[in-house]
Amino acid sequence: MGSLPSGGYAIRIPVDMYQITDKTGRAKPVAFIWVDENGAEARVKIEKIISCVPMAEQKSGTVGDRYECLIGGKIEYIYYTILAPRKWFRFLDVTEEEYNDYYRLPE
Amino acid sequence: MLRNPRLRDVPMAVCGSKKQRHGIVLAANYHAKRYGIKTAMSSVNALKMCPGLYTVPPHYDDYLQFSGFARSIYSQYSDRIEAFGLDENWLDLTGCVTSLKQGAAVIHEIRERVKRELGITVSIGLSFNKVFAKLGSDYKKPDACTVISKENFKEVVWPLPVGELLYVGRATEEKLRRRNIKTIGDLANTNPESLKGTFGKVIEVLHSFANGKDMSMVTPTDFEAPVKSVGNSFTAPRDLKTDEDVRIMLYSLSESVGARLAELRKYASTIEFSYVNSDMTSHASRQKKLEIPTNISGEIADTAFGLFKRHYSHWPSPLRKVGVTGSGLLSIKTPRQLTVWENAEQVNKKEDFERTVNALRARYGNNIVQRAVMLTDRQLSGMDAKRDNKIHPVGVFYGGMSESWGVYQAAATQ
Repeated sequence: MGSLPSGGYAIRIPVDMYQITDKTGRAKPVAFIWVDENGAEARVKIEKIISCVPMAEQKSGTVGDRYECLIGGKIEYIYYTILAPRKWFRFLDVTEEEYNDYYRLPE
Repeated sequence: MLRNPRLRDVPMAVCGSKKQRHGIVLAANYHAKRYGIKTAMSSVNALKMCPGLYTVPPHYDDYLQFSGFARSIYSQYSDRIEAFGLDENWLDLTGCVTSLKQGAAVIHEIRERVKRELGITVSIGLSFNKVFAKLGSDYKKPDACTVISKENFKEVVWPLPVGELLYVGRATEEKLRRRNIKTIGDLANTNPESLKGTFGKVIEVLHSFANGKDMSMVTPTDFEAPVKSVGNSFTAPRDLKTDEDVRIMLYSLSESVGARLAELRKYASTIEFSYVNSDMTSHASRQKKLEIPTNISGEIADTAFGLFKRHYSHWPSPLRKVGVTGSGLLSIKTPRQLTVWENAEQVNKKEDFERTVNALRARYGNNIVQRAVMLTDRQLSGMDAKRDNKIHPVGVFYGGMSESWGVYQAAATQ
């Protein structure tokens, strides 16, 4: 099963993605809108796509195409989920407490 | 667990709606199974066995999607894939591999890919026939592969309880046990002639299964099984206690059966009514052959209601579930002999009316046109039988028999 670069806890945040869809139907992410903790929006450019493989990520429960990307000089994984409706996700490193708070168990 | 990954680490079960009396366990994770929780157990009992159990509703659309994703991985290894329900498939690897050792490597690769790409585990059995491949997929779980060869099947398969054999249900297993046939090996080594009186011709088939002589083919991916019957059954949201309750349910079910027959461009020449009583101690079905084959919901409902009145009007107990099935299907192009009481114009008018109502319902929902009686009980008439109709696994025998195919058969269970 896949793992995130940080190896720790991470939550997935859905993002608005600008993408190019090629002639074969393959999606290529170009840039996305990121909202920081102060609520400020910024357009984040994806500098390079290193690889794209189908992958499931257990900790966040994400299943889809995993894009290994260079963003701001760092390697990050962006996911394009396969379950309809398809969405783009970026991961945010969090503490265990924040992870448990985000993914709350049903009552 | 896709929506909430923390559910992987706690006892969890997918349960139907208690309000609609579908409150049974549909699936449970391995943490829950350790408490003895099993599929089809009531959710109330499941919570008693495991008070810390988390229950979530089913997401059928997600299951359908994942079933498709898994099949698209399987299709990269074989074009002969046969679905056996939502989460089981047979693959024919004959021609794709040249030995069982190669086949074993392939099934391990499939298992790893499904786990890596979809995040779900599968158990796979590889054998020289479908029945043993299925047994192999159930042999070790979760996330495992089992190879059953001509050399080892007596050691692996024969010690298993006879109830594990495909098409041996609880009733057959009980009857076999009473004759001291407890394992698949016992069945394999018993002369089927001595059992024919009790079990009929099917015992020969089960005997051949037990001896590894199943020769049914894996049907190709694009094979469409001919439809032999169209039916709907539904567990009522409350017990049915009066004729009126049953009539409302039968109208709902018949509207779905009629609409589906019309989509298939078929008439049914036989109508079956089935029921299960409220404490599930009694269930039966009754059939009637029609004078004129039909796909008109009113005629289907009237026939089903007539069967109910004939066989259950004494009401020994309330009913929990009723069903309607149309079989003996004919194409709508087949000429039908009318009776002296009807003429072709009347029949055509009824069919045009039915077609119009079906088209309106398809576009605007079931409630757009309803029989007045349905308005008298919204709880019973509120279900959408057509949308929620059951999907049965296609039988093992659909692909026919083969001597040369099926040398390497894999069965994968998600």
